[in-house]
Amino acid sequence: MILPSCSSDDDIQIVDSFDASINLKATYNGQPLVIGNTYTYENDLPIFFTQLKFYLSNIVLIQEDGQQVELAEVEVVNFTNVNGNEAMASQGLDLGFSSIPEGEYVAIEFGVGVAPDLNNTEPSDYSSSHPLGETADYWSAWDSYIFTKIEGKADPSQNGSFDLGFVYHIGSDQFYRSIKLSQAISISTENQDLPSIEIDFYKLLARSSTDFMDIETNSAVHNELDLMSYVMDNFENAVALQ
Amino acid sequence: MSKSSFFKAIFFSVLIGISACMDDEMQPPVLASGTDLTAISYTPQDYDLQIPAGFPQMEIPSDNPLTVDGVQLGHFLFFDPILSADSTMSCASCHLPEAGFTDNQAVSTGVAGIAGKRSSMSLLNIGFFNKGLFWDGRVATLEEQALLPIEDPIELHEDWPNVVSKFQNSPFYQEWFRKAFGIENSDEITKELAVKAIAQYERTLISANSKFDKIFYQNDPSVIIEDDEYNGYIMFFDDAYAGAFVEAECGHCHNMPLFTTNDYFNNGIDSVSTYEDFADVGLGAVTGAQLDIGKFRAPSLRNIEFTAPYMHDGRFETLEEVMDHYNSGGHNFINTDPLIKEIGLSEVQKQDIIAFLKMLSDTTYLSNPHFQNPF
Repeated sequence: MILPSCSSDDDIQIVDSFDASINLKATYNGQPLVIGNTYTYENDLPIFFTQLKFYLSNIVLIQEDGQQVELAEVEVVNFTNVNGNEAMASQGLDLGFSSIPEGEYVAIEFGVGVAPDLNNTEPSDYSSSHPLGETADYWSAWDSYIFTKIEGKADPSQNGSFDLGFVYHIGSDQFYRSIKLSQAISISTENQDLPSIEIDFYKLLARSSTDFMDIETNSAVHNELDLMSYVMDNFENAVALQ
Repeated sequence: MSKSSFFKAIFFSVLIGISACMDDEMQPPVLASGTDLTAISYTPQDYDLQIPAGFPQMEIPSDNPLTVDGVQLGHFLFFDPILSADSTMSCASCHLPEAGFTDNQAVSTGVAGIAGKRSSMSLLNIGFFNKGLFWDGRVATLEEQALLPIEDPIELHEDWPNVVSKFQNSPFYQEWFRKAFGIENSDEITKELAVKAIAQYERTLISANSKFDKIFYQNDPSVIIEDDEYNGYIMFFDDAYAGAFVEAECGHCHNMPLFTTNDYFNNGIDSVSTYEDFADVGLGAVTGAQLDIGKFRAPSLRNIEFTAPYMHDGRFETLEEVMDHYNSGGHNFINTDPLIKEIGLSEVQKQDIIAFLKMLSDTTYLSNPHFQNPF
């Protein structure tokens, strides 16, 4: 595709554009995270995940002069059904974008959650195939989309029973977080590679061996504002370029 | 007239000419199929589907838009026992309007007298269910779904060629398939068109006029929520930041406005030690994933008051039994949903939640002829 572009002296330039995708992988302590596989959490707590899902908003590429090129207004990232085994988890999932103008970029930026302007809308404003059209991901009591759902089970007695479920649902404007990842990105005829991004779900729950979400004490986070903030703040450390 | 219709017309003209020379006893049987339908008016009009406030937009396949006559044909087909082997049962036999489009049986029994293994699901608002149909999600669309019960030996136990033949030989259905789909000849009636019509009708089975709707979505000031209903609402949706309320965690799987997320869960009703112990593997048979064994679709709780018994196998006869199950935490297994845990509701609190559930009852559709047997 060819896009017109205005230069500083208002001459119209013709700029090629390309389709490209970002690869996202869920990991746990650096290893591909498989839904249902057991991992060791702090305090030697065996855990496994059953649902890993979050929204990304305002995904943009940033040029050296600070100008932004929007890739997508909002996307939902759902590892729940695509991380069923080691191979699938290693492959991750791709978010595809179209019509990215040729150019040199220095960073990619996005928000985790649903940006406040979009969070004023509701699923009834969209078709069910739209990322914001999913009624399961809107919580009316908050007047907000559920920015992230992290669910799983833990086995405090370490006897294989996994009788403790943990459910972390977080939403509302105050928990929207922006993340900027700096990296030279070139979009051209020869190269349409966007960065690959890892999200480490251990780091989403734990900052260190002494500073972590106590799953046994806080197995459900739904209205606990400090814990909701704790997890959302952790996204910045949990997200990394591959 | 199409080319095929033209040749059929010539063929039957010759046939009639020959038969005129025969004795009555020698005449071939009258062939109702192959009837030219072009004299019947075909003027398709868009069906004005009203999406209730707060509801998501309905995904309608581009090759099956709703028309007034398509919906009407589907209405006839849905209630017509012509679809069954012995003409005793229709879709409506297991999806009765007065039972919230269920049959109030633990499991349904087909024309051959064979009981199935699952309970009839409500069809109200089914046009909004977008993550698979049946309890195990084995089909994606209403069109696909409607193909299956006809030939299922534990349901209507008929075969499609026979059903299609009945339609093709019925002047009534010749006319309605013509009106609905513009076919030019009765031979063009197919099972694919029949299920399209049924799906069109099913997409119109919308129920959204409950007390909850009037308060929450319609802002009707004349409708007042009672204390027990409000308390139940608070606990259902975990909206209690403080105080004496208990988070019952219901809304996570039965979120508004549909009161289902359309997702699949093991809700801990089976006491199992291994995956092999599940009497019905549910979603696991569809996906092949071990973690999906024993999972079933969360049904909508709209009109739940009318759709007893409950669960995929109808094991609970009352809402009290359902509340007792969830309050107990059910049976833990590896893939029991993380939200299934002992809740700690008092007897009063359980009744509060049931009071809230009854706010989801909408009886107004029962007086609407569109939801009733048209024959």
